[in-house]
Amino acid sequence: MTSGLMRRIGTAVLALGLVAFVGACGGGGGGSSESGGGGGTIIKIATQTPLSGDESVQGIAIRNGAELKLQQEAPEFAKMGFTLQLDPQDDKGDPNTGVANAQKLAADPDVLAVVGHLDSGVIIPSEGKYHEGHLPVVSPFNTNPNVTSQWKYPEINRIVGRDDVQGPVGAIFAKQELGVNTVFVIDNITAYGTGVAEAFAQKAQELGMQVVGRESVAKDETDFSNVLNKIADAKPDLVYYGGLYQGFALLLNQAHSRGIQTKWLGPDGTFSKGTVENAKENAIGVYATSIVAPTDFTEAGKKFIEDYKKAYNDTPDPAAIYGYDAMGVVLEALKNAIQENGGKKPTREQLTAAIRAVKDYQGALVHVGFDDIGDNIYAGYYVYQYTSANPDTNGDPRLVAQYDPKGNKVGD
Amino acid sequence: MDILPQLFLDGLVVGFVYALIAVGYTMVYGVLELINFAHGDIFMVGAFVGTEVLVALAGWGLRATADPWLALSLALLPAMAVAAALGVAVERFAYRPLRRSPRLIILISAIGVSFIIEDLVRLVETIHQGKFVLPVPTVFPDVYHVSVPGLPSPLTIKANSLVVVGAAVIMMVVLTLIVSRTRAGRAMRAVAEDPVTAALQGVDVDRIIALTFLIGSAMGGAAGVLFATQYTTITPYIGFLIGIKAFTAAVVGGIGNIPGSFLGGILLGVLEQVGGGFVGAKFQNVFAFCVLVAVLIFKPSGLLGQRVQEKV
Repeated sequence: MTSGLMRRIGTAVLALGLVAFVGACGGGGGGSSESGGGGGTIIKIATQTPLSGDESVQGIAIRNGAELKLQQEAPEFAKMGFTLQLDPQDDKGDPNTGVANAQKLAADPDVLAVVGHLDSGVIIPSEGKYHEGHLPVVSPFNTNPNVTSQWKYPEINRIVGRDDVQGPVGAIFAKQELGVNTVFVIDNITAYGTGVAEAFAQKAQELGMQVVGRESVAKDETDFSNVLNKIADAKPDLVYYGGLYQGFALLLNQAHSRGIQTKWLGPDGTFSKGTVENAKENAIGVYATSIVAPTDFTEAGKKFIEDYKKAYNDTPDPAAIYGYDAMGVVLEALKNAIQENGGKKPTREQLTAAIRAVKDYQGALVHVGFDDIGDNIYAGYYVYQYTSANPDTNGDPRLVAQYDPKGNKVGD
Repeated sequence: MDILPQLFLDGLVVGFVYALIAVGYTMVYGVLELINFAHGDIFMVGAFVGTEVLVALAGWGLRATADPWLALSLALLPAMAVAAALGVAVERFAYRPLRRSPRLIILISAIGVSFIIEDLVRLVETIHQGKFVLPVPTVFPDVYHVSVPGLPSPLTIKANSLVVVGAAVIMMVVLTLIVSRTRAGRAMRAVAEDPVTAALQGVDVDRIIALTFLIGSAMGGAAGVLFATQYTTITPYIGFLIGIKAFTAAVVGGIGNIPGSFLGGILLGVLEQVGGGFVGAKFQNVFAFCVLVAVLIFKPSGLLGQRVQEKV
């Protein structure tokens, strides 16, 4: 009787799990196995981003962007006799998982390159595994200086700018455009958040602004009342949050419900649909520095938005296009490497060299050329302000200032 | 330090939330000597059910701020019911079949259940809302600035904080009455003391254990709703850290001891806020867990706990 009952429950749980699985695959907008035509030599390009957990809004967007580019290019590679496959990995925003996945990818001979990660704190410890496996990586999103500067591995490249420019750009913007004199700086205790917040605070002091508070709140903490009390006490002109959208939205909401009024600025990790979705009206008027031009800046950018909406039935998060263009760089280099190798599948070492050799690639939005440590010499910096609480348009961000790769203001 | 009274107040509020969750840990430990690691996730489910109700009410044209008491009650009741049902189900299917196994096995089962609940909620919310990080509608929007003679700056008190504390106090009083005055409460205490003897006296031990889970989980679910309205955004993963802190509170107060868990929760909340205020918010969690270590070293039975015979 009991065992019969247990068996039935077991079946029910299994069925439920199956439904969940099918649902998850259906939601993914077409699995990787569909890409590629006939049975050529398989080449896998992996992505490593958080697909679960609370950073997954951006992580999934990067994966989707990369997948879209791969599917668009797959027919061309099929003509050359190669079947492209996406190998999406979930790093969970967790260094241990990221390193374990990197090890696994390095051990799979079909994997030739990686697009990843979201967190600088995850890519930095994983770099050793990529280097040992000679596996080239194009980072779509990691802005911490150490990503390229610490070990200077030939395998590691990024298409975005650096926080030792992004943070100072935020400070320059606050001083010159907003006339701010006192700032309060918070970070989320990650390589990324702390790094960019420190860079901001240092430049702020150099520019003669007063840092009236410097606090850290762990990224999985939900209660900001401690820090908010200090903000209320210090009454800064501007609060800078070095972290990701989720903590930023919590901070904005709790500050608002406590009646704190000040200006807010965050780095690119806060420039997300997630900020608007969670903070709603409280996001209006908030500033964010970013490393990407407005998506509707270029024709290719507009086309990307249309294609993305068609494929995933969703507005792309600003992070999605980074995944798209990072994959674009990988595939461009792959084509060159195949040609140089006489039409045969190149080795990882050959692809590594081909990626570093990219000097002038125009993606949908990002202009990419790598210097000798894998930084993008064309990476610009942009400051946006949310003008609405509509998450479907990412809060209708308005471009308020633009800076060149060295942090000098563009235009006027 | 000017903001000390304010830190103390905020600590009290979060402390009452910890206390409500800690009760669930302590009651289950009392009857089963089991640390129910899924309890933090039951709290999270309560938060989601309450938030969904508030969102649905707003969809039907009843904004929570128009009639906050009605909205809060309508959110609390289903949240408590769902959390209670979930707690009983977890006990029935994940713990009862393993009750005669070594403690470690049940502990592993609890951790597994915790992951299942987190990801199921994530799945359901993603299908239902298209996202799983939910902003919570405001229920009590007022903020009071109270000037206290002798203090340099006025205290900021959210109306919602008062509701959290008030609701927590009412629930704790009711719980204490149930445990100390009713037949079921007496049976619960008897099972906690000695399940075999209690069974010999005609107590249906299985039913009492289920009842313990039901009450503890309902309080956890209520804490979830109060937490959601106070801290404005919820994710399926909020249960973990708060669960661990509430567990700490239960241990600090003396695990198995209900008044001890109230005391432990409030103490932990205040210490963490005030400590974080002095040494920096980044050490807030360090502070909380240092308290745990200190209590385990110097008074392992907790502040109000008695030395129980080691059964683990």
